[in-house]
Amino acid sequence: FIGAVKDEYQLFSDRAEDYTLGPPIGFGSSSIVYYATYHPKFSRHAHIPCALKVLDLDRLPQGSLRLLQSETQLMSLSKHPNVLRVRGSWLDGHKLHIALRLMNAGSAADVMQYAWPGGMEEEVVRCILRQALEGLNYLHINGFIHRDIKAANLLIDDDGTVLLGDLGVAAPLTDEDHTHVHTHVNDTSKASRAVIFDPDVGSPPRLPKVGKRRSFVGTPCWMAPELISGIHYDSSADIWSFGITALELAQGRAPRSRESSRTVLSQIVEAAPPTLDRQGGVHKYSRAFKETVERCLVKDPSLRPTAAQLLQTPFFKNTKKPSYLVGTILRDLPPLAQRLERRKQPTLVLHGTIDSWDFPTTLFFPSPTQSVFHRSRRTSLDGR
Amino acid sequence: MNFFKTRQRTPTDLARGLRDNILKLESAPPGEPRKKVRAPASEEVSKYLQQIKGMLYGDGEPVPELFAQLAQETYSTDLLHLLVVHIARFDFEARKDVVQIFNNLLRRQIGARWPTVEYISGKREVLFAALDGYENEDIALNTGMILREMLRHEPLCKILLYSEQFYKYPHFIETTTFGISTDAYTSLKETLTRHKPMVAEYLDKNYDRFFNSFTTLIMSTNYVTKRQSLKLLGEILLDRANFNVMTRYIANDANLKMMMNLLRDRSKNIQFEAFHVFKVFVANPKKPPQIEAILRRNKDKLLVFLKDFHNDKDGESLPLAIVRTLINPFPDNPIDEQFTDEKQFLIVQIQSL
Repeated sequence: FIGAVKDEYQLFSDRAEDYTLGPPIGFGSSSIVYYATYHPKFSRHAHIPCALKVLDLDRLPQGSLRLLQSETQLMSLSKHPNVLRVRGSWLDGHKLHIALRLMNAGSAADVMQYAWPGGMEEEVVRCILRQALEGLNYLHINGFIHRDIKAANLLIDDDGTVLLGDLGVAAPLTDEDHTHVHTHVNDTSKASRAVIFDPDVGSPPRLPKVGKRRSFVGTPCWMAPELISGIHYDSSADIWSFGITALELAQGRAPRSRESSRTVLSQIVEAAPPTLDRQGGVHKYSRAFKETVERCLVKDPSLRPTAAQLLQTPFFKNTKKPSYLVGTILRDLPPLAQRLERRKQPTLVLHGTIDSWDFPTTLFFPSPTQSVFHRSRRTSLDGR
Repeated sequence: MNFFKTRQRTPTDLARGLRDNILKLESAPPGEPRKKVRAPASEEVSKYLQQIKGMLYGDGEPVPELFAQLAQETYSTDLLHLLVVHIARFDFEARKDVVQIFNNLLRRQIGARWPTVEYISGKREVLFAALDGYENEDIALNTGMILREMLRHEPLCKILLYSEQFYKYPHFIETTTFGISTDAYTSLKETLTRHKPMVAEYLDKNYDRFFNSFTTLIMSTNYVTKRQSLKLLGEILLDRANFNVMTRYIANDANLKMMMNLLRDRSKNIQFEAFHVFKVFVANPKKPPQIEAILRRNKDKLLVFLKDFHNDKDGESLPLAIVRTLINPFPDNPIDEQFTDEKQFLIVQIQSL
C-alpha cells in the first residue's frame, strides 16, 4: 500500500484498571486530557506514559456524539506516523475514555503562542508542514477528509514528530455524511420532530448525494471558500486549510483572525486569497514558500495541488528531519502542564445554571478561531 | 505510482490470482512456519487488491470494458465472499482496499440494474459475513463500512431485515467496545431508516418480536446505547411511514410507563429524548382508556414536572446555536421555541384530562 508504514504503535488495552490517571494537561469544552500511565497487569514493561482524553458524553449533543464516533473510527483505521491513533477506549457511565500517544510539546499553536508569537522561521515551518502533509496524504489516499487542519491540530512530540490530531470532524468520503443527516433533522425539525396524526402528510424523501460533502465544518479562518458557499467539496478543501496553516505558522496567527467570524466568512468567499508577506514579518521567507502557499490558496478547488503532488515539490522534498525541531523550537520549552497553568480557562458552561451569569455578547460572537460544525444551508437542489 | 506493475494483468488474472492467494492464506498448515506460506501469500493478496482497486478507480479514467470484465470475474470466482470472510487475515492497509473495492462494485449500475446488488441478493452469505464482522474487533470497522454500503440498496437491506441474523444487532451493540458498538448501532439505524416503506411493512408484520428486542436496547445499562436507541425510537415512531406502528406503540401502557420513567432519568439528554416519545402518547387524539387512565392518575404530578422540565433546554448545544445565529440571525422557527410550544401543548392536553 502506497501510504502504509510499519506499525510501530502498539495498541494498549481497553481496561480502565490498566491505567493510572495523572494531572490534566488540556481542556476542551466537553473534554479534559490527562497525563496518564499505562501498566498492563501481566506485562513486565513498567509504566508507559500516555494521554487520556476523557469526554463527558452527557454534555455532548447528539450530533457531536456522531462526530466523535467518526473520529474514533478514523483514528482506529489509521496507522501512520503522522496521524494520531486510538490505543484504547472504554466507557464508564457517561464518561468516555480514549487513550492516545502523549504529545509532550502540545500543538504547534501552543508552541507558537508560548515562544514564537510573531511566527516561526521558514525551516521550522517547512519541517512541521511536511510532516502534516504526509499525514494528510495518507488520509486522502484512504478516502478521508480531515476538515479542520490548523496549527492547533498539529501535535508535536518531544522527538519532533508532528501528528495530525483532532480528527473530530473528519469524514470518510465513501461513508454517509453523518452531519448532513443530523442537521437535516434540525433544519426540518418542525416536520421530523412534529407529531403527525395524518399519515399522508410529509415531504418526499431526498436522495443523499454521495462522494462529496456539504457540511459546514471546520474553523472559520481556515475554511475553504467552496465549503462556506455550501458547494460540494472534497479533499482539496483540506489543501486550502493547509495553505492557511502555512501562513499561520509564518505570521503567528491565521489571516483575518482578528475580524469577526461573519466578516471572515464573507471575506474568504469574496476577497482575494491571502498571501505570504516575505519581508514584513519577524522572519524572512523564500520565494518558493510564497509560491507554495499561493498554489494551495487558489479559489477554484480543482486547480489546487493534491497532498501527493505537494510532497513531490522541491520545497517539501528537501525538508529537515523531525529531529530538527528538537534543537530549534522544542529546546527550553517548559513541560506542557506548566505552560497550561498560565492560561487555564474555565470550561464553557453548556447547560446554563441558575447561579451563572448571562453574558450573551461573548456567547453569540464566537471566535473565528474556534471549530464549528454545521450545515450552512439546505437547498432543494440537494436531491437529484 | 504502482511499483508492482510489471505487466498489465487482465481482470481474469487479477480475480483468480487474488482468489488463489486467499485460499493459500487460509490453507496454510498450522505447523508450517508462518513466514514460509502466510507472509508471502498475504503480501500477494495486498498487491492484487491494489491492482484491482487501481483498475476500478483508474489512475485517471477507469476503462469500462476492463471494469465490466473484472466485476464479472469477481462474481464467478466467489471473490466477494472470500474477501469478507478472510479479511482478518489481510494486512491492515489491505483491509481498507477491500472496503473501497466493495464500495465501488456496489455502486456499479448498468441502466436500471445493479449487477453487484443482484449478485449478492443471490448469495446472501456475503451480506451475513459482513454483519458477522462485528464479532472480530480487528476488522469490525472495515466490515461495518462494507455492510452499510450494502444497506444503501433496498433489496439487500430487506434480506437482512427479514433474516434471523437481524436480531444479532443488540448482541453486537451490547458486547463490544465504544467504537465498534456505535458502528454497529449506525448500521442498525441505517437498516431501520433508509428504506422507509419497506421497513414500515416489516415492523407492522413483526411488531412484537421487533419491539421486544428493541426495548432491551432502550433499557441497556450502557449510556450511549440507551441514548441512541431512545432517539431512534422517536425517529421511527414520528415517521409518517410508520403511522400504523406508532398507533400500536402508543396504545400500550407498558410503553408509556417506560417513557415516564425515562423522563426522570439522571441524564438530561435521556430525559429529553424520552420527552419526544412521551409527547406522542399525550398528543394522541384517540387515547385508549388504559393510557388515559395512567395520564389522569398522574395529572398533578405531570403538570408540576413539565413546568420545570428543561426550562434551560434549547434542544442543541450552545456552540451549534451560536453557529446557527451566525448564519441566520432571524430563523423562522428556532428550535427552542418549538420545544417550548410542544411542552405548552402537552400541559394543556394534560390539564384537560
